[in-house]
Amino acid sequence: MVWSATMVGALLGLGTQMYSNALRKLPYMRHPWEHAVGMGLGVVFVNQLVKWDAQLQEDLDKMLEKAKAANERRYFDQDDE
Amino acid sequence: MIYGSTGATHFDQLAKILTGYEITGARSSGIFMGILFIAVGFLFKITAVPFRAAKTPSPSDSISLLTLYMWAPDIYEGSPTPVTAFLSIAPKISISANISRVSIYGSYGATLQQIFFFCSIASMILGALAAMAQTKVKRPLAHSSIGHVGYIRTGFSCGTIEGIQALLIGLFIYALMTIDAFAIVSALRQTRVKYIADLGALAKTNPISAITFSITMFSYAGIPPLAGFCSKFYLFFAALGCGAYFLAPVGVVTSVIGCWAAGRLPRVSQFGGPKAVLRAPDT
Repeated sequence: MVWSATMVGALLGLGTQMYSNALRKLPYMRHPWEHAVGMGLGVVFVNQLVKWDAQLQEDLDKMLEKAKAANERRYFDQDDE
Repeated sequence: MIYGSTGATHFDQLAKILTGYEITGARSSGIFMGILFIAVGFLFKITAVPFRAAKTPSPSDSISLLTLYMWAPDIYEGSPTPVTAFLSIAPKISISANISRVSIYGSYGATLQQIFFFCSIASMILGALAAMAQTKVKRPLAHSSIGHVGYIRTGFSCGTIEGIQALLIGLFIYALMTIDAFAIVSALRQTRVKYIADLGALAKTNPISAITFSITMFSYAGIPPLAGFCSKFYLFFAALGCGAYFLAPVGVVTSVIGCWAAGRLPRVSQFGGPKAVLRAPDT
């Protein structure tokens, strides 16, 4: 999972920098260090995105559990009375 | 006016009072007018139809005194492009956040919902139809943004959690599309692009810009699998989920109509010819 996220991020960063050069009508690989920076930023971005998504899923599950427990307390417990 | 009628300013207190007002069907002109003015204020800022300011009428309009002109296309056209980009993005996000907060923590009842439903439908229809008649580059973008405001209001009008989710997704995607569109228009200012016909040779002079602009406008039109389609998908499904069975088909039809207007810019940029060169008169 980490490797695929890293690869995707690197490709995303590289593609963005090459696209930026193309938009300005420069050679695609002009200033290659910018491509390295882009790849690094892409890797960081995608990895953080994957972590954020996992955290979001956990938080959502907790919220849904709390809401379900509150609803059961509110409605089912009243039925027992 | 709401404070004058209720004596409360805190959202929690207002929530109880206004919800009771809606549920019991009590009549209070002060509360009704207050809710109306709040809605008008919000809708004016986000350029929703029909709340637009009157401006100096054009000489060619014989019934100009009776016609309200839109402030958004005129201001968008007259302002520098970075200012236009800011005006078309920031107020929409901030006002949407503001009114969502007021409605979630306060009250969102039938009065407000009817106003927002009407404005959503009107904005969608006008945004699609008015964009068809434009000849300048920034004006169809302004009308597209008016139409998009209508779509985004659809999500809020529902009053459901799915609607708010769709609203947030729609806003995010709208912001990205608008940044993209105005970035390209701004990049073309050196070639003095003002009219749509000036985009004629963009595919030859700067093909990457032309492709990017085309993809952005197709996204505006809601063509799958682009992001604009996804935002409209969520918004219309939220509308159907809350029972707004008229609003969703209107949105779909206006999207189809808007495809023509939004597709005009990429059509001209990809397939149009270079603009004609003016020759000096023969002496």
